[in-house]
Amino acid sequence: MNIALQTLGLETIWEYIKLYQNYIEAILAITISVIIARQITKMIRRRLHEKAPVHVIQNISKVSSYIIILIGLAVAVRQLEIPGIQLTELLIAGGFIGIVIGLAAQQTLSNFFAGILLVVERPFKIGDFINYNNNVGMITDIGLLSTKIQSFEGFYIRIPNSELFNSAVINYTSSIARLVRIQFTIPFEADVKRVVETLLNKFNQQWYILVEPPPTVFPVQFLENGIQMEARAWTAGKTWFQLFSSVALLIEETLKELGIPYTYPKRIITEAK
Amino acid sequence: MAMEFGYIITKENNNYVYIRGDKKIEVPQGLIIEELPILSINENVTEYFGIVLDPPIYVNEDEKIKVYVKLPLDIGIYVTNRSKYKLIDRIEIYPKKYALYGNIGNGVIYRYWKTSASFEKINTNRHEALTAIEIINEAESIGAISRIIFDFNNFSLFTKDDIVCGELIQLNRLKKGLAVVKLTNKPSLEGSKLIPTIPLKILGGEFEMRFGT
Repeated sequence: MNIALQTLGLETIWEYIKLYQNYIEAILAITISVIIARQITKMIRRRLHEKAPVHVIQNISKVSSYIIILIGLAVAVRQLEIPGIQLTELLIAGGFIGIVIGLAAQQTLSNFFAGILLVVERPFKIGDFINYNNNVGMITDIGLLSTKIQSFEGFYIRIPNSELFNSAVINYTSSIARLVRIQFTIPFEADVKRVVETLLNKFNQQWYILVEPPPTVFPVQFLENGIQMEARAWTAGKTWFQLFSSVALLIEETLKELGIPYTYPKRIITEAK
Repeated sequence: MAMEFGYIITKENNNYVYIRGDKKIEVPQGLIIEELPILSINENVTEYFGIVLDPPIYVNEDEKIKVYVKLPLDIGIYVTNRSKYKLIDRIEIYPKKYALYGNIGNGVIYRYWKTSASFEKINTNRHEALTAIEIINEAESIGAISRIIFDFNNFSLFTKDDIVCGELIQLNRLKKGLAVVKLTNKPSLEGSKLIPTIPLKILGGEFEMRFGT
């Protein structure tokens, strides 16, 4: 008897399922799309954690989940076969609206997609020092539409992402090693070899100057007021500013130690009798 | 040793306290402060350590040799619960220098440590780690090994009878200009005990030297 009841119950359920099949499929489509959207949101957050700013991650995950849920809704509408709502018509209408919005917000969309590409390609990251069109500073934010840099003077510069993506940008921080070169002039009377040796010795004592490639100091040319010298030293990308800000001081100290005076333009005027 | 380098580790109200100059760090109960040797490197500049052998070691084709070197050690000050270790300060014993391996596009900056190698075990002081390097030459030419680079984060230190030793390093010369440096998880001196600040690895610990040795 029990078996008969169970059979009857299953049959009834099956009939109901068949009767409301479209509705069940529609609910399933929406449920599955929501689950997938949630999983994708989690995956995006995990992958982009500490690689992109929080609001960029939030925007990307939101857009992705909306797209997936919209696909789920489209499938659900198709299953329900609601009279008066045709999926093809919806798609055409959606496409038309898309074109209108696309044309109206062409520049904004260009910045938006450039922002996504900047996050994916990562030509720079937050904290890097860059030079864009002679705007030098540290990246403080990579937004979906624009990137903000803080200049050495402390003011903020906002650059649209499409401009950054399509232009040459110098990234000072991503370099593994960097060369700093500086030219200085010593008087003709100075002992060039001694200047070279002493300065190299001083360079080699600095922890931030690389052993390889080795630093070099050499005479470049003879000027009106003395011999022009060039000093070159390599440092790790992370210690570039340490070297950049100290190399002139090191040269000045060395010249002082050697008793070599600063050179300046001289004229010897001979008075005719 | 602590006073010699200007720091003290002591206990105040059952809490461990570390004092160095104006710096004073106190940790709650359950955590202790401990001094342990650490490879002399500045992690803010690079994570790679390079042993520069002067003179180089020559290895015949299809031959395997073992040499010993001394590596420099600083004093690491750690907060620990005996399971996890967190470096809070470093007492620098050695001045540090750095160099570029490879080119500026694909190379790495490494802590430059120039030393000679010996075919016999050598005596070390308390700020040196005796480290064995096994060189296997699989290339069909005589190899001149003057550079061995590895990732400091994977390099464990061990201790035996107050002697600190490094992890056994294996350098496999595959062909001219190409070698793989592997950290083997084994101590350079048999029977040594692991200093648990850098635990042994399950995977990794390899560095490919593509720009020659």
